[in-house]
Amino acid sequence: MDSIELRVSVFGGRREGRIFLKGVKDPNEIDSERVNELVKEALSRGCRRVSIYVVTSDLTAGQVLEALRPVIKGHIYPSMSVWVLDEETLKSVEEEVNVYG
Amino acid sequence: MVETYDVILSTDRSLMTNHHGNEFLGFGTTMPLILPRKFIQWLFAPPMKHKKGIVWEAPYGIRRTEAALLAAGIKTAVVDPDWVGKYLEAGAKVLVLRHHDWFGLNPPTSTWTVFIDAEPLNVVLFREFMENVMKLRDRLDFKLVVAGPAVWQWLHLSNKVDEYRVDAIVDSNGDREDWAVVKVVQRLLNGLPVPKYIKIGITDSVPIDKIVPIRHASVNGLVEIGLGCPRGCSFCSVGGRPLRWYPLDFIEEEIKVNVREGQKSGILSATDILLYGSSTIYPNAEAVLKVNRLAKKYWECVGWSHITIAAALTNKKLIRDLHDLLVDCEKQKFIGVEIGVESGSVKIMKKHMAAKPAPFPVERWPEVVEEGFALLHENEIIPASTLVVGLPGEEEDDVIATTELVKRLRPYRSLIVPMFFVPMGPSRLGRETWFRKLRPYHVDLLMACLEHDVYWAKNLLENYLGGLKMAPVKKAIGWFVGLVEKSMPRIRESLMNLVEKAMEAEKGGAGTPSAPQVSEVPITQTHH
Repeated sequence: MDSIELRVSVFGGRREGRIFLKGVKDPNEIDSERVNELVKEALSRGCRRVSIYVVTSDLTAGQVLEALRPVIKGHIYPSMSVWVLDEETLKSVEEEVNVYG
Repeated sequence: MVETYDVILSTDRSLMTNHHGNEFLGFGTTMPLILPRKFIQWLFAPPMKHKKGIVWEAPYGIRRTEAALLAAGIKTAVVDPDWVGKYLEAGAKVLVLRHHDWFGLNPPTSTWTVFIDAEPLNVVLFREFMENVMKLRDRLDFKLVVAGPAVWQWLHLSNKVDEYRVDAIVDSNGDREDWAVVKVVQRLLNGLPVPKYIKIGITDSVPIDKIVPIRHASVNGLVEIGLGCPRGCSFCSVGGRPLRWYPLDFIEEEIKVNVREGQKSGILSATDILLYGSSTIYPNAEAVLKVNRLAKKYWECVGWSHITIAAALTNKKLIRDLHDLLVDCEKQKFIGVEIGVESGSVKIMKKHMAAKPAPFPVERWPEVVEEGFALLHENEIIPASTLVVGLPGEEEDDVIATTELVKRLRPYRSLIVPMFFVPMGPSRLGRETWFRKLRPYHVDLLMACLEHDVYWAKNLLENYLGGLKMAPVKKAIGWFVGLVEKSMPRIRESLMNLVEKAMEAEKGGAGTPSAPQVSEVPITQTHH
């Protein structure tokens, strides 16, 4: 994996934590504990929505969801989304994408 | 030829059925195929009436999503599972599926599979349905969205996300996710990328005024009157969601939709019908009577999805008034409802559901249950009650206390269904594992429940399951109950043998056979 990073963005007055995992080539590179820490940090910084972007050309969606299961099932309060996409597609979702209703 | 829709909604036959108009028979779809499949399917999941594949009734959750999509201007229809191919061939671009037990990991399906090595009907029906969808996926271009309260199951069988080529999973997380489905569908229709998984958090719980009424009839006329629950039990997927009630005019509109499309009876649905209009754990008697009076104005029989024993006991007069209002002895002989008894152990109650007995002290829970059952019995309210077996921290004494409580409930007309603990996604115990460590004292509890249920099932069949149309169903269930009654000693012996084998395997370090420790997924899933 090339990098893992948390960014806090403000969309329509609402803080959203965005976690980027870039260049993931192997499911074992996804450290769910580290992602969990970042989710907690986002929550502590006032985010009630957390979006996780896994940028990969090598992993299937199933592999990503399996690796992130402890994160997704571990938090009941924030709204959460998991994106599995390549670099090109990531550019198209850089602005706010509100999928939470 | 059929009409072209942008989006079609569907599910497999275990849910796209009205169970012969008897909601409780729906439990039967979770049964393993120990009897001929044709018989079980006819008994519990008969086909749905439809017109060119557009179903007459549909599960309420599907109707909610349909209403939200239609309100957003998206041409949508709810389609019978056998007709999905025709509508996709006619040009539907998105198929949205909803289910409450995709892979049989929820109770009671997962409870059966601990001791019966056969696939449950609902698991088989979903797998066959998806095999058909996959064949269509090979030759047609459409997107697949799965949604609802149990989509967390896909996280445990994530290989199925790839195998079934799922485009998006929308998790209601114990609430309503319809508006998220609308946003996902809009993006898919516009060729935009969507997240693989979306979960609606508590701070995004949908406000009641944003929900739109259903447009067509729901299965058995079920109408939701509220969302959320104030009690916060650790194992429950709804716990922690804010309590919200639909206004009477909204409820009336949904009842009218059902009546207009032919539903003569219906079910009011909420986590606790007795708390309608209340923001606390005390019933607002006037509001509860109003909503029931409204339902009775339109329906011959009014059923309830759930109540709590504690709320019933806080206002006994309300229970008597509800009986007098609904049970008219001509069309309606009783009120059916589901109730969570969960445990007879004060220790377990304190640890996992301390607020469930409130306002009564948790130390008095077993007596509260007994007193509550007596009140319901007197007022012809018949509970199908559930127990949760194997909650974290449960010990032998806790199970024995529950068994004793079940035995004390024998005089009261009811059914008691034990369910093994499942770490459901949105619950506080979502990170735990499935209960699988059966012991002899668990067998005692299971047998106490079975004895209770056989005793009362005969009475219920005789006195409450009526109508000429139901005669063959009544006969079939009567035969099945008789078979279980005759087989009781053999069932106990088989269960004991299974427990002994499991315990030996554990001693040998192999773990309980039905609990693969790597996948944490119950045995049913190893079959396919």
